[in-house]
Amino acid sequence: MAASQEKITVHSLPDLKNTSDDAIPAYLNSLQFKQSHTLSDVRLALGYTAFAICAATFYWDYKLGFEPTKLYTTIAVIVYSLINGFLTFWIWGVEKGAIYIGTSPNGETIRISSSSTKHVPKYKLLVTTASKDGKVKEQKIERSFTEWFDSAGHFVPKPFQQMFASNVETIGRVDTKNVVKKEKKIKAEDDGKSMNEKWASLLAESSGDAPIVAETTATPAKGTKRRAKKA
Amino acid sequence: MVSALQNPRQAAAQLLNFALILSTAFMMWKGLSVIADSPSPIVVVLSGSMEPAFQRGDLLFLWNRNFLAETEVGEIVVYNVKGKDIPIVHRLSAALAFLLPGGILWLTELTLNMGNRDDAKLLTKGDNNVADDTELYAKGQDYIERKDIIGSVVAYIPFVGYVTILLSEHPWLKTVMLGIMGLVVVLQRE
Repeated sequence: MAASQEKITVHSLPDLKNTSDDAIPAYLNSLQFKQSHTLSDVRLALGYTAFAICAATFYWDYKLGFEPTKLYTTIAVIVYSLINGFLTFWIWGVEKGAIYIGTSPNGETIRISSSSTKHVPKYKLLVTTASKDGKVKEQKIERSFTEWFDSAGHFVPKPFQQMFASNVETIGRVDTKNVVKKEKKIKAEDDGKSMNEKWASLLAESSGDAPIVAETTATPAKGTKRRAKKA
Repeated sequence: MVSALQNPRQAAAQLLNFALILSTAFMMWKGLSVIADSPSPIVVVLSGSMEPAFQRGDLLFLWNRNFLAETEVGEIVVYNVKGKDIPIVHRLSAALAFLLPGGILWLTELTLNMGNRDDAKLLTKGDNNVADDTELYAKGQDYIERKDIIGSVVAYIPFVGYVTILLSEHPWLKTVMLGIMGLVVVLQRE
């Protein structure tokens, strides 16, 4: 689980995002998830069909000139715009930035899409999982890229995989090694807490908050609660 | 790039991005051609023969349909001459009425829907030229016909076409530009 040999520029948000995006299929497929390529294959098919129409138009325009091919060119322009319009719809409305769609060895389906806001070095994930009986669960994970890139720009897989295994149950069930347990720490802090606070921390844990985020926010959260009680 | 070779889908997707940029540009051009009914709906003025109306580098938008108005004498048109690749931008100066034994009777007004007919016989002249265009026509050709015209000028943007003059006068610039564009698209995955 050493850092990768390849280095990226840590100042480049697209590089950070693309490297992370590429790591997800590699990781999940290594866990025997079955990746589905249907969406991207449809996109490629649409795109190359449109391109083929354009190439044909170019060819007959070049060979025969404008006047004799006017009718075909008109049809080609209309068909091309339709396909391109549908392609745009496919990318924005159907694919929606999905970078991984697949089925876990347990038969649960998972769909991961990622995004990042310009100038904000945070990796935003939207993970949708569906169990075999059709229960759909959607969760958002937002983490800093610094958690799995070192300062030189090497990708470090361990924390990246831990993030997925600990937060997404579908993955955690398959990759038990990488599930980071938070219970011990919370138990240590539990002494002297009221029942309500225990519930709150349990809820925070189950709502898919990141372990690191949970640790840092736990204290201020307690503080505000106490202040609220006093008031 | 190495990762692209390992993942054919991603390589195909990146190549597709590049292909779609090129093809969309081409199809938009073709769409405009079809709408304006002109093989070349946007042209750049290459000479000063139409000064002061147009200067070298002006970008002209052409319209070649007659359903709104007829083509009339006095309009600035772009036409092709047989045997010459480069279209010429000049003003329609007259329309042929009769071929007489001693010469041609030219009219300064088109009548009887002459401007709609493919074989309407027309004469052109550059505003900045002393003589009409008979010199520019092919050998033995005394007039152009409506079907030689690829469009009337309906709008123009001054000077922006100068880039294409530079590109056509220094063809290596084209290669450089295309190369840079290609590299940017292939290497960037933003």
